[in-house]
Amino acid sequence: MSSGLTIREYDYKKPTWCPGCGDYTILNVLKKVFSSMNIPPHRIVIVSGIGCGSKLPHYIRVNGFHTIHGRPLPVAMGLKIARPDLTIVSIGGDGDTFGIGAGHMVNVPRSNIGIVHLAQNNGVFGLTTGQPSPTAPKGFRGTIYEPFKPLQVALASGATFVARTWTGNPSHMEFVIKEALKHVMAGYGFAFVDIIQYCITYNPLIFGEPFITYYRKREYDLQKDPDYDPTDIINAYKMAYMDGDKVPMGIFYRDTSKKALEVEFGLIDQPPGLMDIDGIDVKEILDKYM
Amino acid sequence: MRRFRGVSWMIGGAAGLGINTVAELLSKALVRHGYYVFSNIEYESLIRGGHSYFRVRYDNKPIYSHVDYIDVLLALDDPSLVGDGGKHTYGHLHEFLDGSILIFDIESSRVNREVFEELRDKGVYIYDIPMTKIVKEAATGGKANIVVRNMVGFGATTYILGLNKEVVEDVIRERFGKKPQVAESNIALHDLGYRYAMENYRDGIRIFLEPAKERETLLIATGNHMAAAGAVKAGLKVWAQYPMTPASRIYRYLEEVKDKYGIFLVQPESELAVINIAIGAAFGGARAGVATSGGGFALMSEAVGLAGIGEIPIVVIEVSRPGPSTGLPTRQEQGDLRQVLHAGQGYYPKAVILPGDPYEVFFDTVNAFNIAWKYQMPVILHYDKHIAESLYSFPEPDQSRVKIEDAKWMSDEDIRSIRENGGNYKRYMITEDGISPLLRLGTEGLVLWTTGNEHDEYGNTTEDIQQRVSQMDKRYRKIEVLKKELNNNFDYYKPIKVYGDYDGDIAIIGWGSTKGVILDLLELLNNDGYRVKYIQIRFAYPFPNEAFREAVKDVGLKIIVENNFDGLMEGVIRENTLISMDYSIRKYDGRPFSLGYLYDKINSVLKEVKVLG
Repeated sequence: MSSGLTIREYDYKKPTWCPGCGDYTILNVLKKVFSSMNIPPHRIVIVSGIGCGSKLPHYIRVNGFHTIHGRPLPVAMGLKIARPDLTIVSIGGDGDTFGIGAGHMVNVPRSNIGIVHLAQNNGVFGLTTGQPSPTAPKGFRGTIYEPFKPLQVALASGATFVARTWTGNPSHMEFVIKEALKHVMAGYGFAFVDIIQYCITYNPLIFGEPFITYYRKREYDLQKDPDYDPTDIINAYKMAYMDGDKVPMGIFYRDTSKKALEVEFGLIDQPPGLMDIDGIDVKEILDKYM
Repeated sequence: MRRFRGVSWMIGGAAGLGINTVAELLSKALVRHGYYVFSNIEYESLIRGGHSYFRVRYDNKPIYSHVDYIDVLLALDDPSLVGDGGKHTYGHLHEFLDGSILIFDIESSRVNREVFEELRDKGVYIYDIPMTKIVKEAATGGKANIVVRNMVGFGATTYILGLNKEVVEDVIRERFGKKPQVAESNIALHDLGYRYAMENYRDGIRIFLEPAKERETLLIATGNHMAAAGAVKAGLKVWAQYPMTPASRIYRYLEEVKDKYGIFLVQPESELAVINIAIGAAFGGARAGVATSGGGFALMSEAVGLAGIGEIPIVVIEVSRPGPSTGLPTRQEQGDLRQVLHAGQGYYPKAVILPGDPYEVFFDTVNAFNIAWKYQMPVILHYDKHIAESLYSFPEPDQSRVKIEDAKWMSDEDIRSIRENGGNYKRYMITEDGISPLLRLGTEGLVLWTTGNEHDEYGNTTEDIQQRVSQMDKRYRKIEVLKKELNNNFDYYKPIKVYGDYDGDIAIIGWGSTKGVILDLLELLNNDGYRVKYIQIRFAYPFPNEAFREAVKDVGLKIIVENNFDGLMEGVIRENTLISMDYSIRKYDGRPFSLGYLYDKINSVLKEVKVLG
């Protein structure tokens, strides 16, 4: 495909999100990333779960599969197995990723399948009118749980690329998602990006402070720290646990020593979704039972 | 207890003693001798210990069921004989008849010696084979000598049944083909057992059954074997499965051949992942399938609905066992029919196919994939443990009878016309037959959307009243078209099969694994002078209304046989046809129907009818 894809080529329907929602930022950043990386719409599939953010595939002109709550990861995995030649982005909210779909969050990365998963992490279930999500602080709207730790879990689950960004800094998000896609497209495997956002309607404040000011004050860009080594997983864990005055953003961990599943098992050479189905002779199997 | 035709052999013992191996080897050897065989296993949900037994019944005429008595018992431990007070078993002594044979190692046993005297009085002939001693002396088993006693008992069996030793040895050799040393030591032990029986029981009772004179070559295989073979034939490319008895082995059978046929296998974290991986793979154009039992299927239900509304072709093999919940995990029941029919919320078109034996499983698996792709919908192939794990002898499925049918894909012309008009592809285009041509993902310049929400023709979510109605109608038009196809190709799909006396005034109706025992029963009832036909229902959805009506039209007495508690198929028949049964015979003890049990039940119905008549 020749270069020069414009953002316009990815435009589709107008979103129905609340004005001011961070999902707009994610949508715009994705279009920017795809166009700047010259990936044509027909070579991309976005697989989403259920929730406000998971409506995203309907607002961008790439292939889209809007699945059911919690399942974008295994669907994206199956799709990548069938069509490893395509670029697959899985996207889901914090309920999708860390609640109902948590079982997939800790297992799909272990396969090191080459997909990017974007977790839209805003602490609430917006579409069902503001119930606490797994990443909400304990006590928020009555939740009895300590908040889920996305980065630690991603690291422990074997994701070979683990990053965090936030909707208040679109250029940072663009950098991170682009790096995640590069990781996947280079055949290194699974990339996880935690995207911190707010819900303008049900969770606009972070500990009483407006979202943007809260994170702008605390944002600590790991890639601007010349001493930070993202290939060291112990460092990554340390940074993942850092909270309070300094909130690290960027690429926590990157392991380019492993092969993606589709590379390791040779799927990329013979995509199962493109193979012939007719004329298969099973005599050899039947003969075993003679 | 009365004897039926053929020979009923059994091996019993704790799990881990090599019961399956011997029963499978014997079944195969018998088929090679020219017999017809039916073998079924009963085992507990444990790895070592407990009590398992495997029956092998054979004859020189086709045979499809088991019986409750034993002609020959190879008992590898005491509980197989006298039980353990019911903890795992009450033993099999009561299944002996006059002239039955016991193969047993008395010197290694703690069974009261009086038991053997009583057995002899009853007319049971005992081959006392010191299996443990023989194994120890041979010193081939090492630490495993408890396990390899099975081969000594197998040797005695071969002698008693008058089998050709070379044929048996070939079968053993093939079984351990990858480990020639193991094969040879097993053959040596088999030989020791054979010779011990021969040399010490020159005048012992033996069973000589003439093999069939002219018999085609038969396979000996289970339903799960044929599900794997059928899926490969159908062009399977991606298979996902989480272990659950009695479906687990399908994965293993596919694993044996995955490299040759280019199939990607994955065992992910849960059935939720399994079904969604398959959906993703099918969305990506690969023929994808999964297998599970009732519990796993319950977890999959929501996603099966996604495949329904998203029109994604997936094949789910649901192999039932008794529920609810964990139920009786290794036993038999036909209790999941409603679950597979009504999986998930709301309405979506699907097909539910009900094979009745492994031979049918092969063809029905291929058909399941064809229907799934042609109609872009989930297809559920549903059978039970008795089919899944019993060994049936049957003719080799003729591959030339199988047609592989692909989905309706967008033509180059269609694609060009969309491109030229600068429009978008309508993934859910309203069409006359309800089938919207598929676009291959990655087609230059075109994209598509799929969703589990109600959607417009482009696959974008909608809440519009008109769109909802037209998409619902479109999806259900596929069922109308499928019904027509099933009718027009009745002999290929066989949604209903009728056996026995077509004009019979008595009909026995069933589905799934009851097929075998009913077929054997037909012969008995026929000999008793009844005019009986057997109607096998092979599609639960769409239900073959007209064919069923036709089959029962002139029937005076309709008896339905089901391996469940409340007559699931009886209800399905009634709701589809308003036809009610005259009698229903149900069994929900977790065990399949034996020939004797069903014969008695049918006879009491017939007696009652006579009294009433």
